[in-house]
Amino acid sequence: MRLGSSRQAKTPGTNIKGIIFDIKKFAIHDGPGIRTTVFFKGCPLRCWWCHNPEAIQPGAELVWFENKCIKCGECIKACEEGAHELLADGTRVLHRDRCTLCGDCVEVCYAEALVMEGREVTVEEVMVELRKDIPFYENSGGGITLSGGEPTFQHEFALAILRQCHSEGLHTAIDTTGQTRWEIFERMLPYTDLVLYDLKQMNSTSHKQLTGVPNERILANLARISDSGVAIEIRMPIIPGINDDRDAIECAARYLTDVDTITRVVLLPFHKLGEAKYSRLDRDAYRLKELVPPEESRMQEIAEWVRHYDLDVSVG
Amino acid sequence: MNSTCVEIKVVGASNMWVTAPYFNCPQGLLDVMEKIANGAMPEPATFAAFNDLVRDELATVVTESARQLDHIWHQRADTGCFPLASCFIDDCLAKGMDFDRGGARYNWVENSFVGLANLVDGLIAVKRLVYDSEEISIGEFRELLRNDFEGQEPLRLRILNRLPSYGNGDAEADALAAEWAEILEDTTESHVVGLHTYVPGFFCWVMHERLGAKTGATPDGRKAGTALADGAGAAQGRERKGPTTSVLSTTTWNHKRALGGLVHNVKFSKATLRTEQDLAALRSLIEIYLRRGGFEIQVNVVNAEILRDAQAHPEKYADLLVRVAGYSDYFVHLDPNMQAEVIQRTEHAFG
Repeated sequence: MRLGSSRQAKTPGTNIKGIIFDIKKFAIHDGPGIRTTVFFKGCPLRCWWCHNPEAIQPGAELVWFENKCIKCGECIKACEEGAHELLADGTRVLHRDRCTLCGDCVEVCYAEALVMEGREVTVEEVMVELRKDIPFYENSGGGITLSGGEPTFQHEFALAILRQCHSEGLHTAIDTTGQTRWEIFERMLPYTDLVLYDLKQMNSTSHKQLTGVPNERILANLARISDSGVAIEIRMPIIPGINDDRDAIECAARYLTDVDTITRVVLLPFHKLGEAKYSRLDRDAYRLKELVPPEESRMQEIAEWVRHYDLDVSVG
Repeated sequence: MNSTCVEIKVVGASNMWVTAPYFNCPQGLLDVMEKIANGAMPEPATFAAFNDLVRDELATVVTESARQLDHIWHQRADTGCFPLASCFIDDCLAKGMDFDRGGARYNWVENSFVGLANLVDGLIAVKRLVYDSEEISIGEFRELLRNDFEGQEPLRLRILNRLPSYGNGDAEADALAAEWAEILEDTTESHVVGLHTYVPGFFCWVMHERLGAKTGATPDGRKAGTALADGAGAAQGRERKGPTTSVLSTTTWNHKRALGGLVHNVKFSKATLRTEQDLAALRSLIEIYLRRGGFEIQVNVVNAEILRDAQAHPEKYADLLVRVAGYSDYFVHLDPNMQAEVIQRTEHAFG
């Protein structure tokens, strides 16, 4: 079927609404080819290394880019709650406890120092954006990816997008932590061509410490997705000194040799690009401030350990 | 068929003269605003009427240039001539005619329109602020531009960040760009230059920088003296929806008539083109641009950090080549404004 050929036919649920914080075009690391990735709000995990902290809370959040502020004072005038304040010494203060997330300040902040992360959209509104790059998907073997956050966190919304994409012949991928009820995956998999599945830590106790949840359900879901025959790409974040010792890596690789539908394993080196986001959101301090990202040579060394188990592995 | 630079040329059969001359598109818009502001023209009642005035203004500039060129080319036919070169151009020998007298199979004089994106984005700002929301008059807008948006940074940022701009898949902005490309092409093609066809182009070489240096602030939020748009795509720093979107926008209009050349610029950081998968995606991007009728796409692979370091330590980067506008140059040879502009061009990070 030619991509987009049946775009007029609506599948059920195209009026369902969800909360997303971004739609990124020309995403080329979220599955094969050129893709468009939809970033969902909400995540059940609290990983120490999270680089998308704006994705964690299910609802909208106000982000404050101090460096972009031109001190025009429009936000102070616009806010009826007094959440924005300019102190006598010139310091700008954001009182989050007073903020009702009405968005009035964002509206008048032309410098875009105040940004609302998270907006409510319908499935059809998302589809309009996804369809725009169909020529690129066709040419490159790409498609769409649902990421986040955790896409299953808003599963009815995710399901409706996947179903509509499939009815239009678009290749679909979901990027998931695996932390959800099996029934949810079971409903989504018929409309999913590829699952990008995170594997963070094999030891459940450590997993709970590092991410806030144990990993039994995650591992059980991985096995069942494989049994259902859907292709899986494993993604392992490599966090130096935390989950990158040889035993832990080999334990994971050994486990993966029994998961039949794995197409490849991608090792994602720890990075700190998300660090600045924590203060913009007034979150607790970034936990891994002092940690140094791994060298390329270290990543290749780890990749060799995994390759030893006959897995197709690459460094992402 | 080959291209000497950006324009297309049929090898060995063409007599071509390029960039005759470079036209400053947003200057036409500024001149109309000036005439309205000083009372030489009444303020039009609708945006469509305003748009027509700008069209007439630029058409007059093009017509005047064509008239001067026509005179020069008639003189060349009378007193010029290149007998030796003509021996190597089809069909000069067969016709027994020098190429300055129209002996070549293809005889074209080509112009170059610079700053299409600034014109389009500026017209949209006028439409929104003067005609839709009626919050400012043409005269007030002109005054504000004369002061280079001094004390009006919120308004300038609103224009830049909130109003539609060409190159971001916005239907209104892209349609206006298409309308204007056609206006400029029609105007050009309505003239002949001596024995030659007058052919449109949108190639800017380094003239976006040179013309920009002489151009005051423009209604699109561009500050006085800064570069005009560096190609046929979005103005520098205004491309926000990624390279697929900008490719779709630039190819919403027909490039076939612009034989004088046009370039769509994309810049990627080195780190983004690491794997086979990355390169395949880039190849696909280029393919789609060409399949949609794109004339030329120019890919810069650098990272801004390296370029900034090269500005600070030119001695370390004598060999760093960057594509500028239809040609490549050593980064360290560019003047500081030009360097800043190469850095400013949207640097795409692959997702």
